[in-house]
Amino acid sequence: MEILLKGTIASKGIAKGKCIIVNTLDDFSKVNDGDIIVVRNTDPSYLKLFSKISGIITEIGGLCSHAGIIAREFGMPCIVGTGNARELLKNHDIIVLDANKGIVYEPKENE
Amino acid sequence: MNQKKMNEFYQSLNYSINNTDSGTFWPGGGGQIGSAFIEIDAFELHCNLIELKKTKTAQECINYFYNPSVIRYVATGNFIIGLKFLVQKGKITIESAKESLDFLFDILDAKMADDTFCGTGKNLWLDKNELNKIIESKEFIKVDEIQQKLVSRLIISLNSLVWSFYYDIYVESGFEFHGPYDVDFKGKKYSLLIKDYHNLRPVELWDKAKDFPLKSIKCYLLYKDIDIQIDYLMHETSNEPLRQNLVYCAIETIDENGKQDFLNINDSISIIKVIEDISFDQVKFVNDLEIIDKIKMGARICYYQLKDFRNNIGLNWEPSKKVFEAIDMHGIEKWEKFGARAKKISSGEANIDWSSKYNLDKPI
Repeated sequence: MEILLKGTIASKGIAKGKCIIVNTLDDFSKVNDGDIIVVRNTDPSYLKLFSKISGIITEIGGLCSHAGIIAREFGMPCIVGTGNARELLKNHDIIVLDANKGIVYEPKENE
Repeated sequence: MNQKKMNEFYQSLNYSINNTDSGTFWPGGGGQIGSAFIEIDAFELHCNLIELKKTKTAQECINYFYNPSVIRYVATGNFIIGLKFLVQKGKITIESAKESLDFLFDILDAKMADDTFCGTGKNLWLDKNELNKIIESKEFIKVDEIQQKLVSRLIISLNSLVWSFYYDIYVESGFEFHGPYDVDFKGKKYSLLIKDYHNLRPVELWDKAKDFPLKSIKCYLLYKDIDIQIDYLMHETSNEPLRQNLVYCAIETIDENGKQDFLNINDSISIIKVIEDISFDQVKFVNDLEIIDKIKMGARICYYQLKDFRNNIGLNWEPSKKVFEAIDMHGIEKWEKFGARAKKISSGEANIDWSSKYNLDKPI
């Protein structure tokens, strides 16, 4: 298993899905059901995305950041403070966000 | 306020701020926005409190502030640091600075049922009698998995609405999360968390607020087998996801005309969609403002925090012309630098000891 990224656990859980890097509001239309979004940080305009995504990875923020609070309320896996996730992860790659361990990795073929 | 209480304040504050560890959305932190008018704001409040103390007790002033977190946010926003500047410049004495701060904290102490500064991880605003009334009078319903999801979505959308109206730095003007309270309901023990979205129509601040039909929504939430903590700045953390541990809820609404009702969670999707649309439009509106206008709105929101207090003592809540002049004097370049800095705050950077910063006896 190759660990692609580590971060602080803000909300536990495991999600597997397509990695979508969201930089601006224009990227919202690229997000589909079950995707895992990778962002600098979230703000209230992300509200419409939360009911369809399966996980959140942020570059900055801590336990009480906007993304962390929302993810805990929804029971959605979330890691925060990853540093440069948008550089390290590739758009549209399938990834596993293991927010029980605070890591992101590439899934094995049968996973 | 004695030294023991002040030590509790410093400890709670350290935990709360170091736990935040996050950048802000726009356009800078509260301290940054306040930096232009911190002395004006602190001096006004200082004089108001000193005058008030001559004729009122702390207990008599508790209703001048709707919720306890307003007092906490104001104290650590501009007030204490502003007092330190005023003392350093010889505009007020250290003794009078301590007198006004003590009085403000005495009001907070009188307002709370226990644990003035949330040092035990609880925000205990209500006493036993008030809690019993809630348990007896609210229409609690048992929630299934679908309803748990709806409650979560409602709460997240309400949080976002508040964030979009009050920025992420003055949120206590729009909500108070309090509890967890240990309560008995139908013969079993639960943790009651109350999410009181008490001002969802700040029409004095934003035109967009007129689009929202409800003045307030109160969510009474009964959880089982979960450890929930709320700190000084109302950060809420839990050892388990909240949603799946929610057992009962009651949702109370008050419309713009003051009519009270209960919201059936099964019918909440229409109001959730309204909230989502208003939040989205409002964020876009703020994002599109010039930085100087974002800062000036920040100043208005900052003063709006004390709307009830100022109205109760016969003053206008709006900031004076001096505040806006001070913001203009800072210059665009400085504000842009602040905005960029606020977005860069990263993990660990906030981990400093705040007690000396907020101690009136220590130099700035």
